[in-house]
Amino acid sequence: MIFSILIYGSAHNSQSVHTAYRFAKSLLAAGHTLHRVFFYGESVYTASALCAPPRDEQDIHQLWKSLAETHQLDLVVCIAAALKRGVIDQAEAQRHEKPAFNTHAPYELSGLGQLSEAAIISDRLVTFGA
Amino acid sequence: MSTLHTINKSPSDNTLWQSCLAALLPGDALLMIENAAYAAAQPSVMTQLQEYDIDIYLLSADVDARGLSGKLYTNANIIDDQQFVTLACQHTKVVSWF
Repeated sequence: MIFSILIYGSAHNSQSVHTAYRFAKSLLAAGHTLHRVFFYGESVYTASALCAPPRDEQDIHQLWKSLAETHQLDLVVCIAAALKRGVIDQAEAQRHEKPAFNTHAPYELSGLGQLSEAAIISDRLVTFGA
Repeated sequence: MSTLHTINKSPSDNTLWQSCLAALLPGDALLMIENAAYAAAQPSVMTQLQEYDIDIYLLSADVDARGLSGKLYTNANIIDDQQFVTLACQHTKVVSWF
């Protein structure tokens, strides 16, 4: 079965990015396909490579990155939600004349069209709310 | 054409819970995730849920993280993440209340 995941919750103030991660790992282990993960709202902070959590906490940026690299996942970050929160990749940093960038592959900034496409392609779209 | 509903807030979010309960249909399933796991320790909520012809589930990770095992009322099934995936497959759609 083809799944996509939509995440709204904050990477740091809610559990949703973590619950979604466990769900993603489980569906992949069961042999299903994960077509896309779409980070929306506060969940875009997951994509920041500069977050440095304490050693006794899970590094959710790294967990999603590793899972994506192992399974060639499509991690799409809502570009509008990301840019206004200072989550920015190299191309957007240049375009907006910003002095630095903080996200890169496998996280990809893109638009809501990617969410619509995921909803059409997938058998199940599972939302993890804020 | 049944639905798996997930809800992630404790029953103190009354508006959310009322909206969710109003949407339940016979044959649906309700999975109480994250802080919604606290609902399973509240007799009033679990008694109300018995009026609906639905299956009720909790994630074991949420129950353990909140120290709720031993405090639960029994009409909820405790499942793991793999069974969450199975439920999502068994129902034709997943609706998330948050």
